[in-house]
Amino acid sequence: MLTDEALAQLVGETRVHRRVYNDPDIFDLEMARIWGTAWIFVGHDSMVPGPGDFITTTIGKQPVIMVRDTASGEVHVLANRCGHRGVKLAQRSHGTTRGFRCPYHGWSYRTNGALAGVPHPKGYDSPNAMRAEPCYQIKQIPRVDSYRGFYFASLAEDGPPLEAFLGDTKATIDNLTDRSPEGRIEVVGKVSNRFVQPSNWKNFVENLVDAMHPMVAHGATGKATAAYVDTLGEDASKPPEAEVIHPFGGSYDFFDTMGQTALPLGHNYMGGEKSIFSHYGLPDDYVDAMREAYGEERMHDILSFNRHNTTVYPSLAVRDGVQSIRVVRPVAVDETIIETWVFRLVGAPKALLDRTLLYSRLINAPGSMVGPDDLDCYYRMQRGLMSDLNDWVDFSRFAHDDQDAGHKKTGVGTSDLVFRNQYQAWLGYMTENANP
Amino acid sequence: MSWDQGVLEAFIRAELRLLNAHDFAPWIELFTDDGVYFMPLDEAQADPELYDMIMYDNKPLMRIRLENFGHPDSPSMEYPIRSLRMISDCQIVEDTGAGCITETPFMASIFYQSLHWYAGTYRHSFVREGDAIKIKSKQVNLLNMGAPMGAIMTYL
Ligand SMILES: [Fe+2]
Repeated sequence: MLTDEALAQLVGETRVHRRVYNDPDIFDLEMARIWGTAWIFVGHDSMVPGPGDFITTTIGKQPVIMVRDTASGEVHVLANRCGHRGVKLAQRSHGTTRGFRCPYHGWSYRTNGALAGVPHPKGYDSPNAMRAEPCYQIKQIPRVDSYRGFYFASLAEDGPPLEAFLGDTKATIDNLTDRSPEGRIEVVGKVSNRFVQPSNWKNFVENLVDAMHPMVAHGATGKATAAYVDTLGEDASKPPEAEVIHPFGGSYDFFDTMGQTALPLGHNYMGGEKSIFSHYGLPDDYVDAMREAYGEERMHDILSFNRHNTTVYPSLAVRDGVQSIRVVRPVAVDETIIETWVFRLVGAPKALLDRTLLYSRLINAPGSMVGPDDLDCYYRMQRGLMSDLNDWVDFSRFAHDDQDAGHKKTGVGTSDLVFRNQYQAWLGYMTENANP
Repeated sequence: MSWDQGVLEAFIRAELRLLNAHDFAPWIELFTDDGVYFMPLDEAQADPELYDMIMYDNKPLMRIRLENFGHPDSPSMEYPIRSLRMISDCQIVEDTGAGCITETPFMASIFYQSLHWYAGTYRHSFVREGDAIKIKSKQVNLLNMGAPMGAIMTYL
């Protein structure tokens, strides 16, 4: 029985018990208490641009549909479950529809979830009244809200409003969107990369801001890139591929100076003034378009904002500097699907999209060189933690050096501060009476 | 000058022999300098200039990957990779004289920790450089494009 006390014993100040990664009961409790209460990223406005456009995804274990109402144009997030026998209604990853019809007994619904028709209804006591019965509708997810086109939903009736939940991570979403001279971004393609990882969802969430791993886990890719650049001769200019990969074999000092910032509710970001992307040159026509749209000062603020990665705990990672997001979809205690979505900055030259695509292919895709090395490390951690001869996973790096700055804490780039912060939030969500 | 199906099918078989043998240096040389290898996520997202890909290498990336294969510092490369590709029924679907496109059904098995099966269609775009035939692009359309998938550890 996982009492609050038992759960509290799993999270020490600088370490966590291995069970948080591999105990199926803890996974189920996480789905209820973290993924069942927090604001979970569902999709971006541009994924459902027209009336009746929908995508299907999950909030924790629960299947949902994000759909644009054919009548009002409003975006709904609905339980992907028929009001009759519970059959999943929408099966494809995306599409356009006038409504949803259950494939089993033919109950049909409007895009707002309202029951529209039941075949051969005379067997029911009051067929007309069924249309008003809450139990026969597709359920709307209790809370749905968006911030600058990013739709989140919460399975809990109560909790902080979305903007309060997002806190300082809003600035990253702002920056991603404001990097368009028109202040608008659009997702590229209806189908995203979905990378299946044979490991717990928290492995991925930790890895996003793990500055101690690139030089080791991605050392080979860094060295392979350097070896290739050597073959080009001294006078040759570096190809953009080498420019993107090279920091992944970067030095400890390089990552230290980036800095880590821990925020309430387990959120965090890496970088700020300086990040892995800060050296990328920007094309002149883009800078001109940005200056025209925003003026010199504001343009400078937008383009010098450089958070390498921002985590909206537990479901979303935003890389504003390369216009991509990664979305965490837990499947089981040892299986997670990571979606990678890339964005086009509306009104920006094609060169910006080229860089976004290059980054995703090199770092995130199932066929990339960097992604499989991360995945293999998660896999090994998942397997290694089956050993019960040492129960603890260590997060003690820079344990006494956190800088308090109001509602946030900061540390050097290789500090374990952000992991400790994630587990404090984790414990808050997991223990019923605590405030996350 | 139009293209000969038999010559191109023999070319593809020779290309696959190099991949089966993990002999990547001469395989890379089969491509033009601006040649690309890519694996789309969807039929409607097949243009690598416009869309993200499951896998994408231009020639600089092929050369980096060549150095990365089997690298002792790479965790994912610690496991042996063995692979086998089979094709049937190569067809010319476009012949402009200067260039030519073939479509070839394939099946590939990759042993990487366990046996993985892939199937789909190769879409090769060929050009001539002097007397030599070169690959301008090799597009790999997987049957399961767009589905969630694990790491793809080598070229198919
Ligand atoms: Fe990594």
